[in-house]
Amino acid sequence: MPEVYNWQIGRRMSYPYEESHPDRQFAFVFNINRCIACQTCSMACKSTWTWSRGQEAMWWNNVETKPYGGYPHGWDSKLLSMLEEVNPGQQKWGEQGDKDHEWPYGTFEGMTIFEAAERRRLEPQSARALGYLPSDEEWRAPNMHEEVAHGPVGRAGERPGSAQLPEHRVWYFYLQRICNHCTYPGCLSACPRQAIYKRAEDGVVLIDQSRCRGYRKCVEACPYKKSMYRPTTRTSEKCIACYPRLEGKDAAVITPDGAPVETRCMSACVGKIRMQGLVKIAEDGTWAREPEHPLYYLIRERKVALPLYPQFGTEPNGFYIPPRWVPRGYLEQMFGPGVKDAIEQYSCPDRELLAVLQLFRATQRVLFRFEVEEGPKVGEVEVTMPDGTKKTQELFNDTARGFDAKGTEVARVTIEEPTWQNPKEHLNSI
Amino acid sequence: MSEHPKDRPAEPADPFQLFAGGVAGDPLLMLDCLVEEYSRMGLDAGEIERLFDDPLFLATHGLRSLFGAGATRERVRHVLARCGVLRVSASVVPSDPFSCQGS
Repeated sequence: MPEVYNWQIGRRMSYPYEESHPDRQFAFVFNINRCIACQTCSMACKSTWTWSRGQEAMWWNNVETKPYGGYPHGWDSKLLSMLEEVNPGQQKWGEQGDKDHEWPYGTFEGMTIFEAAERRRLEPQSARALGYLPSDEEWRAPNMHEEVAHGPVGRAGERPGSAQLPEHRVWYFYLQRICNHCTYPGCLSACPRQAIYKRAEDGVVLIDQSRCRGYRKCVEACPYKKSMYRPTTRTSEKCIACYPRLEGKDAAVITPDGAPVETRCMSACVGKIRMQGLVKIAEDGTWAREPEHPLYYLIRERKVALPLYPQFGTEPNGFYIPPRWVPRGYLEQMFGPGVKDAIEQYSCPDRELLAVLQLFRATQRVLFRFEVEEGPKVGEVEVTMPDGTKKTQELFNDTARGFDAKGTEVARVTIEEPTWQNPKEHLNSI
Repeated sequence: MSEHPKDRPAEPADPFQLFAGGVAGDPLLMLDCLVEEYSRMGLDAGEIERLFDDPLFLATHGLRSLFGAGATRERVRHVLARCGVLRVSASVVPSDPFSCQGS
């Protein structure tokens, strides 16, 4: 296999094709801390793209509850187990990354899904990525075993045919998932029909429906299980990153100047947890330096948003601000070794980071640049750090401004003086 | 009489089997962090408490069930007393038809 450079694992790795990179890459940041699992994103996507016959169990966007849930069931723990089986005890991260951003999370010393496939000598020989094909049952119930039902307490057998549902503690976090439009897609590597391709203009990964014959090799090889089979057409389908909106050509949206507009799932997010962008890719495949780009700033400059399971080796372009209340070990398995730094920065953000965070969902247009105008200090608050300790955060009357692809200012958010909620015992009584 | 299906042990490869590992999470830390997050979004005590009261929001309502309504309300107020409620004003260029901020 040829070798390609994967900046997320800090080294070169085997991949079935030579490196070839788009001019810009569709990427996104999801802030896990703020998601309330209202599933508005899931329904926005479903009602736009997957409402037809044969797409009933197809959720290009889903929100699952970790560590209990997953769609399809157990998708990540199954693949992690398979990798561990191929390379027992060696799926580890090595030394920490350097300062010049070339390998910010350190080096992954274990095996990616492509390397594990080489070692295991998969059958048939054309198999190029370690994976598995989920059963129909695993696709059937997207939110199975997630939160506990909190209705009136009952017991098994109390009513005819009733059963005790499995329960777990009231402690979890929500994981929002769409296709990661990976730099080295597992789905693309596995397609025997060459039906999957990555667009040169924005890095969006698409399945050519006229070439696909529904062999489901992509479903098997995608580590995130975001390629899905449709029995009525006998082809596989996947998230298309709402590319008509990215191109500014969505007829339902007024785009007089053709500026890119965010995807349906992003623009429907009521919790304002999502931000998407098109980051510039250098000739060598690394991210071109754009410190004024909000995504570059969050991901490469400040490293508060991290890729999902970077050790799989596909270089996913979806990034997450990890939840503050989750034990470090679990998060490091999911997001790599950058977790500690990311959470500490996010828990008590400095004035610039706090300002940029205000741009999430401030507009439907895709932001390409931000500016922060500094204002006077307006207060101090006490915030909870990941270890439960408290820290003082300073607040400033700063303004974050966002600009679209045309350089037009499309968002302006100003932080104002915080208001205080006094406990009952401190309220004045007249 | 044959055994009722619900009483049989699950098949080892049953895809509906609860698939989870034990993670030592702290529900109180989760509650504190959620309240801080919502306060950073500009929600005040009343609005945050409604998220805990509404059974449709399972995470917050689950925490309320765990700690009790009174203790949860007190905790919300306690957290807000030290972190305050972040206020932001959003203004988009007036000609922009894409604003999703309330005006």
